[in-house]
Amino acid sequence: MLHKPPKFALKLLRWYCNPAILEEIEGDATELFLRRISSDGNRKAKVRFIWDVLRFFRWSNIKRTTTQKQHINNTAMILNYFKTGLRSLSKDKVTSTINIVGLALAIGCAVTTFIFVDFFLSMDTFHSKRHTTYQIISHVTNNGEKQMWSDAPILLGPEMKDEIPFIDLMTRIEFGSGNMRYNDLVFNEGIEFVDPDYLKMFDFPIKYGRRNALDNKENIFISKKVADKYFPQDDPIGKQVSIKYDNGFIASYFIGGVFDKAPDLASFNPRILISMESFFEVNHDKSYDWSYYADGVFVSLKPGHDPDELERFFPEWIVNQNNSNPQFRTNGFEAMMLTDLSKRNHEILSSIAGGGHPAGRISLTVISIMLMLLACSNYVNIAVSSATKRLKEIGLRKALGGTRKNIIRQFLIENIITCFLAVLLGTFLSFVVFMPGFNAVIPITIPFEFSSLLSMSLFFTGILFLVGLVSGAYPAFFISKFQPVHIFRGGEKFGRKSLFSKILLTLQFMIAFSTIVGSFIFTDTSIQLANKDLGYTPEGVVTIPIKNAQEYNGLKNKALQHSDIHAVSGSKGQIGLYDRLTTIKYEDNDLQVNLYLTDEAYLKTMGLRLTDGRYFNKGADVDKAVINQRLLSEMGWDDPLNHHFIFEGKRYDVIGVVEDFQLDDFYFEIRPTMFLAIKDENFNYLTVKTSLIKEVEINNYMRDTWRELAPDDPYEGVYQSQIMDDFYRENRSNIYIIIFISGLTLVLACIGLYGLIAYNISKRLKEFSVRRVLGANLFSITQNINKDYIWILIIAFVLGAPLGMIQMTQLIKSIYPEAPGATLWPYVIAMLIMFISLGVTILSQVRRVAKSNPASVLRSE
Amino acid sequence: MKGTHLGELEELILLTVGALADQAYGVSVMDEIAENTGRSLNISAVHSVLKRLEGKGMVRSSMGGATNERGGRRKRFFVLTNLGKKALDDSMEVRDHLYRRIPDILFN
Repeated sequence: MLHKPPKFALKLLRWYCNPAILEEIEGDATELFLRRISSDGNRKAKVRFIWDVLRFFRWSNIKRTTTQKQHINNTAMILNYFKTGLRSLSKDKVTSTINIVGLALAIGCAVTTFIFVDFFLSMDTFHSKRHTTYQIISHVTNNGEKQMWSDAPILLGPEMKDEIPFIDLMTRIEFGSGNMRYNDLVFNEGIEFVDPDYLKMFDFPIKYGRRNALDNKENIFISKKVADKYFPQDDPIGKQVSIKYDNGFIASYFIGGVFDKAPDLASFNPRILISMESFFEVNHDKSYDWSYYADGVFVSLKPGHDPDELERFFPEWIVNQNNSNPQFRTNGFEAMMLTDLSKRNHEILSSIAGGGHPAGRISLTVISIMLMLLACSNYVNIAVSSATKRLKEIGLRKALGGTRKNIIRQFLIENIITCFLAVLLGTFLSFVVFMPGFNAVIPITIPFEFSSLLSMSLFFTGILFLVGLVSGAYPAFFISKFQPVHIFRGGEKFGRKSLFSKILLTLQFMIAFSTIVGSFIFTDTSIQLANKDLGYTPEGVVTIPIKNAQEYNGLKNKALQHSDIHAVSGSKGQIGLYDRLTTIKYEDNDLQVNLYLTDEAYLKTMGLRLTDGRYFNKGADVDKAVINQRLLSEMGWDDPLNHHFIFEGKRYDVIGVVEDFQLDDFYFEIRPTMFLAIKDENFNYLTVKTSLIKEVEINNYMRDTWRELAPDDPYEGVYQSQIMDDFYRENRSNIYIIIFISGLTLVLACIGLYGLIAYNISKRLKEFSVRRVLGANLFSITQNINKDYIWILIIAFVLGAPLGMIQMTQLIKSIYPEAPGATLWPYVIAMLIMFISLGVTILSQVRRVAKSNPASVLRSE
Repeated sequence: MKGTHLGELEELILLTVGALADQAYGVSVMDEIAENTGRSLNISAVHSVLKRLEGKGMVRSSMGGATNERGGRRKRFFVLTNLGKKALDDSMEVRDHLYRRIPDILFN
């Protein structure tokens, strides 16, 4: 019989038709079909068969669920699933542990990441007026570039409050700084000048004082940190302090209030609040029109009003601003929600709100999703191969009437049990290990908290079901497909030969290799940076910022008297702390260069190394310049000593070239730089050079001298060798985080491999026993086991390592422009670590084969 | 009289089942009707009428033995029950009775 009725029609019939009458209907339809083939031809017969099938679709023929089925005791069945699930978990403890621990590691990371992201996304939510409070952001065209500024015209605030009836509260924030003095305690402090509404608008907790304290301009509000510094023991309310501002103006104030410790979720914190009125008094010599920008303007609207309603008031003020400051044209103002400020702070220039770049949140999320995928594919692999042990159970369930749906449900339930345990363990891990560890390496401390009960329960339910279903779906569908007949006949073969699990394993190791190679490259670069030569000699150099010539001269004279001080020099600008960006002219070219104005001894004091020419000579070199190699190469000069350039209309001859040095930390590239010698005036840094061991002693000596000379100003001397400490600290944190992540990836990959090999070996234990009985030695058996995996590993390495390298090199380039090239070590170490850990994984299994007694293995069953 | 009333198609198919004796199943009934009356029915219509008749107790059915025909699928054979036979008798009687009352004179 060559001709068969169309398959899909037959399938359709079987699908809808009541099984009790299916046979006769199918029979009649087929009989007619066969007869029509000879009379009408194949095509027509098929069409008519389809037509018949469609005509049979009648109410009386359609399959209906009978009420009988619903009497099955579902509760007992599902309870039984739980029972067998728990039993099979406890039966194979190694696999269950591997599964649960693997998932738990990934889930722990996910929990930590979620808390981290959740934390940053709920910044500033502790302010009760958060739904009605907005910052006025300026959209500005500056030198043809569109920018968003946190700054807004200082006059905008009061204008808005006067003109717009539905504005409830308004405050401006203007940053300043000054030296605050209480008795003999003097420190340089950051100051915010604000309007009195500040305290009503923001809910920073208050320890002492009242929220209307700033109504009196004599009063100031200080943070707990400041209060602890000046008034360690007692209640500071009413105490008098004096502040010397940068412009020399001195004013005294009373402490009107003290904040309590700021909430963790605050994206900006008050330090010292002084009323705006005082600001105008301090800076009475300047005029404040529409061209002057305050650092921030905040408004709170009365309830029931929308920020869009502000729009119609803006045009007039925009015109005012544009007229008074055409260089910095405001195109428009935007009212931005208080809670959005920290999320968008990377878009806003000189943003008031902190809160981290979204790149950190995104990369952490990506990493935890990757880890999650790794753990899930482990689980899938192990679950599929471990089904071998449960074939008989599946066969029996099917033979006794379990449908495929039942089996799928059973396996999914078992999966959810595993996931539930993993979620518990993962959360615990995150609480005990990951979160504290993470907090230790990042600059802030994130509490182990969720922003709301809802987000917490959604997250956990989501993760439970997502992981449960993603990792459980394939094994469940795969396992439930087996036919009982085949199972009992012993014909089902899978696991080792499954292409799917091989691809999964390759993918897994690709990810593992690329992260490991990538993170070793990163670590390698970081370590090289930590030890990189800065291009000058910071050891033994103490740098002291100074305010005026009197301080400079006094301090310099005292320093010259000390026998341990080898050199003293002054400069305007200091390597690593401050430099000026300016432009020089050479022939017709303009070049942006960094400028240090120094005395003659500076280059030598700092230990800058000459490659050509000489240092400045005392008194004779006012029209000469020393440049760095980067400037030389930008200019393309062959004989630099015969060249000159124009700076501020004057000609400067090049007399020396120094090696490139690190102007700032490694996040910034080395730029063309020049040194010009100037007379002893207006220096803002004094540098003294001593030996490394005398550093602390000299620093103390300078501090004492300072106290005598300038009691009103704080001493702010730093060790030149420590100015990069922030960078090194951050660098170390990065290394820790990256090593941790790559370690975790490695552990997950090994766990996956271990689980898989363990299963395959236990399945082939009889085979190996037979081989051993017939004389195979352990080496050939090891080869036999490895054969399946070695190719997977090689392919994964060949694909994964370059991937990790390319990505990481790009990342490093974007972070550290001056990064040294990576060495070969990362590859070698990554490969060694991978192969050693894989070797250990495999060998531990080979040992199992070696230790088993062939006789007892073969005797069983 | 609900339950014993026969529709036109029902009666035709019931008659056919009776005529085919023990060889009546879906396709054979359809063929028989096509041959005798020229009416081509869809097989699904035949099935549903047969099912209805069985529900009324006028035919009963049983599955035939397995054969190699039609892909090994068995046939469901229908036979007339006493009730079915009586229904046919009644219907014939009514027709006969009424028929005989037609005066011959009208058509001569």
